[in-house]
Amino acid sequence: MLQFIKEGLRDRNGQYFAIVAAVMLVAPLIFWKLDLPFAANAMLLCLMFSIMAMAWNLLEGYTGQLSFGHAVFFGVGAYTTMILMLYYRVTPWVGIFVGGLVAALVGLALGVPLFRLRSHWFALATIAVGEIFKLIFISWDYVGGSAGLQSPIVPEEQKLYYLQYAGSYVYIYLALGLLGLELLIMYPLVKSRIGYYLQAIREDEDAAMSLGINPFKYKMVAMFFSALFTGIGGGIYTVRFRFVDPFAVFDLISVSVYITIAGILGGIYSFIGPIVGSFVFVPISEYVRVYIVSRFPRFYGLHVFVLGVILLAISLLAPEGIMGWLEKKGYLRKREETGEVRKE
Amino acid sequence: MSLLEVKGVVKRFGGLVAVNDVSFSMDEGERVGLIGPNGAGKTTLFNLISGYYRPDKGRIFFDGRDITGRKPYEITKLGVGRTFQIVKPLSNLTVLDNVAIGALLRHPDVNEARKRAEEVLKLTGLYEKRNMRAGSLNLPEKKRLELSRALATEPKLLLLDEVVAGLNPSEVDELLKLLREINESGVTILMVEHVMRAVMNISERIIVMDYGVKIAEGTPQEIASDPRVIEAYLGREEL
Repeated sequence: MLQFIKEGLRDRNGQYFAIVAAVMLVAPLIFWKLDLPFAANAMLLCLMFSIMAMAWNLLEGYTGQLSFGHAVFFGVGAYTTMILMLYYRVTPWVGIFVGGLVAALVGLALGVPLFRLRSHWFALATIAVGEIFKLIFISWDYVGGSAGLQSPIVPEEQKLYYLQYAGSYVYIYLALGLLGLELLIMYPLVKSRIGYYLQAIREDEDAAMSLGINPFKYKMVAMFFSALFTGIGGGIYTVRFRFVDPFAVFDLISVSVYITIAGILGGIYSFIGPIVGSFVFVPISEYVRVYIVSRFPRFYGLHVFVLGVILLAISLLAPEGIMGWLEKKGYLRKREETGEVRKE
Repeated sequence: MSLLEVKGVVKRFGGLVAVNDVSFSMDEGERVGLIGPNGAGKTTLFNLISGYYRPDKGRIFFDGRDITGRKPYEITKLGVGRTFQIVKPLSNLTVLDNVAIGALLRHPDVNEARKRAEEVLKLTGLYEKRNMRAGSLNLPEKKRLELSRALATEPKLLLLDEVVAGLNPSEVDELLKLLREINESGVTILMVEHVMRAVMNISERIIVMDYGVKIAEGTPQEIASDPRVIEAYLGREEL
């Protein structure tokens, strides 16, 4: 382990990673000391969307399957964590992971019909699935119907068991840990045979089949991990906000499309692009939502307009996202060149 | 026992019979050419053998197994490699990664597969371009990439769909030499080709198709003098 860290620090990317990780670990302490709850909350949301956008990008960037329905997995993860906590007194320390697994199983079940569709037909169907899930949860009494579910305030000695803390500070560390776990699973995955096969499917399914690849099988693998970590993102939402309702967690714009924009803004052909995109996009969107929209209450939907402007800017200025733009400007090593320096 | 046996396959597209009751067989180690005018059904026949189309009638056997209606990736696993006439590079990946993905079929370890891919690229002459984006290759290079990728899957039977087209004469000679080497290493080759010089040169046996039907089969000499073949290509002489 120590050897691994030593070697990692010799590599330039490893040094960047160490610096960013250190900043992330110290930042919440600073927010707490200086009493900056808005910044802390924004950082938590950045991390939550980082987890989900990276998971989403396993399907879009690696496998070429554009999903506008990831709110389904977010919502299923959020509801599962909440129901386990509320009805069965299961600690969210377990519930978050069960939520991820349930979301992953839902992903596999949806994959069977969805992966019969290609390109834009797949994307359209994912929108439909998201709306269907919202309607199901609205009319399902067991999960609280349209009113949703709220978890009560627990006494002091149960705070740790129910993961209930004031503000976002503690949850930032939870989200950092889960993002770390995701990196530990996703990075080896995309560097393995599976990662190569997913990219082959993205580039050309017919060519992939001629190389012995079963596209459906590997799309299902991508779907499993994509839904798993998006569901875990939903679990973080539940413990932080203690309230889930179908309109919020299954929302097309503020969940599915947000994840999509974060991913595309960061750069879908980059492993860490979605994290970069989340950390750029979420603070902008939060700022607009909290400060600007509240100042112009009559212009309801102003934040969605701002989203439109951002999307327009990406497509005009950096169609390959921030990471693609940095690469083109020479701030990052090109992908073609990194192929050469890969270790034997 | 023959390696490939095609028995009376038929493929219809609407009212058009693209492949009509075609039968032939190939022994291990053979080099067979498949020729015919445009629209004769050669590529359709390839798609039937490699599993991209399911025949409406007839059966296909490979290596003693009935592969009729099997999926393309299953047929690749059994040992049939193919190239596409309309090239299908994995454009955003490097040349090396394109070939490495083929090699992953028999070598699941990524580093091992990349090593295998490098060997294949040295053989096919694309090694110098290994770190280029596959999409940025020119057409003859993309054709060689198709061949490299198919080779990396370590096939017993190689289906080549017009790999020579678009090459200049010295490149053609080079590629034919390479195909002979591949064949001598034990790979059976079935090739569709329009460049007559190439196909006459390399094939031990030639099958001729026209309007979906097999009209002739024999050695290059026999084929070149077969009146049915001449008629298919040049039309009947009107007196």
